[in-house]
Amino acid sequence: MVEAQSDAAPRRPVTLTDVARHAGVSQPTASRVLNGSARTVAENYRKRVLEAAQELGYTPNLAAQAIARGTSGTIALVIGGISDPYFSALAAALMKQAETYGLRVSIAVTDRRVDRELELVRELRGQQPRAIVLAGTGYVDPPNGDELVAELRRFEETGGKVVLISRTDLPFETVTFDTHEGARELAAELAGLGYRRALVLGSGTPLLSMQQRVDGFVEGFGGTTTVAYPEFSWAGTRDFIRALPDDELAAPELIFAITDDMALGAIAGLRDRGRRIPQDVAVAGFDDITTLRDVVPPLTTVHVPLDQVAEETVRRALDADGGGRTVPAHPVIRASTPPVRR
Amino acid sequence: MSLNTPTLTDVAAHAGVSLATASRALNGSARKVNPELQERVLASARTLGYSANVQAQAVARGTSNVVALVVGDIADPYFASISSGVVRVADERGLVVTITATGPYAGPESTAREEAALDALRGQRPRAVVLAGSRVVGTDTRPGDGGRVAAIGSGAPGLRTVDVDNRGGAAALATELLALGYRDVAVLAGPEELVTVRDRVDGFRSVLPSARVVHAEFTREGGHRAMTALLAAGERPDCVFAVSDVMAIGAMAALREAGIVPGEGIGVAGFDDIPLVADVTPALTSVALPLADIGARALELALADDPSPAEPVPAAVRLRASTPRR
Repeated sequence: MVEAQSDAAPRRPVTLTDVARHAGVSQPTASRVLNGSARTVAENYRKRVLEAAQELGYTPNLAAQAIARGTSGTIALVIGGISDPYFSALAAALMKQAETYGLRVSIAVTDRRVDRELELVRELRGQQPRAIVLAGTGYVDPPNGDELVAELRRFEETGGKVVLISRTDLPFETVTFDTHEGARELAAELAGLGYRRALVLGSGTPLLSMQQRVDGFVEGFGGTTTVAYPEFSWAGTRDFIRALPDDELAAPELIFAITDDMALGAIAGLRDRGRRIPQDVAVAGFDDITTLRDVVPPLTTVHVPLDQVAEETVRRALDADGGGRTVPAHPVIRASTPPVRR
Repeated sequence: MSLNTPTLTDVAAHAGVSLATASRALNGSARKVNPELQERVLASARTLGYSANVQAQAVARGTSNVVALVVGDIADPYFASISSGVVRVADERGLVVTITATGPYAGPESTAREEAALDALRGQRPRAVVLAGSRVVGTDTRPGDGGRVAAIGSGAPGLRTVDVDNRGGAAALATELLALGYRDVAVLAGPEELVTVRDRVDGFRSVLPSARVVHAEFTREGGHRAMTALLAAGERPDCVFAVSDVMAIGAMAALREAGIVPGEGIGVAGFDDIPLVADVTPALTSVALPLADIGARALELALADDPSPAEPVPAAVRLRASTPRR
């Protein structure tokens, strides 16, 4: 391979020293600008360093930074439930990504209990991880949100980093996938396939991002939607379908559950009730968990690119550049929702 | 470095108690603090945003409030179910679980990873350690030093272990398959150096000695690969027993790709009875282990002052549509 080389771009990896020299500043100044520091740098220096870094194609060595800055090489991941395949897949993706930076991931589980989340954050803060990543979805009306925010702020004040995944209820850096838009697009595609009457299964626990899935779907569908809120689990959804009155079971052409896990629970319930999928009723989920490759018929869902989510999360955890990132989520139409013939 | 981090002294001053009382109330001493004082100290700690430095505490007390769970592949539902039981017991006892995953089993590399994970854990001085990953045959160097350690399924000699009757469960499955009319059975096994794999294969073959064995990775991909290899060799057993459900599900995918309907064409059975067996078509025959209870027992065992020997955890055959009567 032939690469065009300019004098400004040496062949070896660009170092901080190169950037400092190019910008005409001292190395500590360049470091403060690029590696994030409590000490501020004058705006004109900041600009010069950033321009030099861009020109030279400098990328910080995140692993080295983590070691230099951090007190430990661990990212503490807080998830809602370990038996939920979405969380276990997310944890696996995050571990894989963290490992490329020489970091370790430890996982703690809230079991979707608000009080426990706060307790865990307190305990984890004491362990001084490099970052705390909260992946459990936020509550619609958090009962102790202020305490949690205060706890997380203190963690950041002592040099830690807080990153949220798919939750927007707390004022910290967030990596989200576009839940509302993903559900809206899915609904629009299903409406395009001819579906007019849908039963939407939301979460009995008031979770913010789950409610966005309900809202996005209802908004995009256009036809008639009935929304129900079974217990937020595979078994809860199965039991809900098992107990549904005959007329309510017969009414929808389509059932959309806000997670694949719930959709699979719904399918188990439908089979118990003698309803065939998709002949009698179509089913769609959300998340595109890997389990789906073994489910027959293949389930229509919204694909969430967890590898991208994990990559962004680790970058946020190590890098002080601020702000949030939204990873797009796209509908995937499969055999569980064929076009409606009328 | 931070000027704002409140110390134990701040908390004691705020609550109007002695430093020793504040320490006892917050750091979980054996000596009781009167409940009213305890509540006052906790309220002050909350108000000031005091968080005990767990590492410092652990050093002072010799241990922490953390329970460490070491698993293989975090995305494997088997470990997820075990983890849920460990978390349940920890919760009851006011402890926090941190889970470390060493990834899908990949030979000596995995053993090295587990050792590295344990080294890192020692620094945290966990109250207890639960090892859920499968042990390699002939190794007995798992750490018993420092904290309290319990293993699941296949512990080394001298290590507290929740014994699982893998051998008996596999034998019972073979007996049921014989009764259903299956005669020509192949075993899709994981790496032969894993104790769990060896026990399940041996148990199965104690009833069906003619069953041939194919080894592959202990994953869905491994099950897929072993099944594909078997079919490519022109073999058409009337049933395959995969030594884990995850492998069995991979085998079912390979059968479908080859145009063979699992169950109707070739019977398929697994082991573990993970929740996923109900979502696949046909529903998978398996050997049920009470995985959450096993996790719970493992942590109780690790925390026990004087553990008494317990019976092995029994395994129960669950026949489903993937092994219809022949």
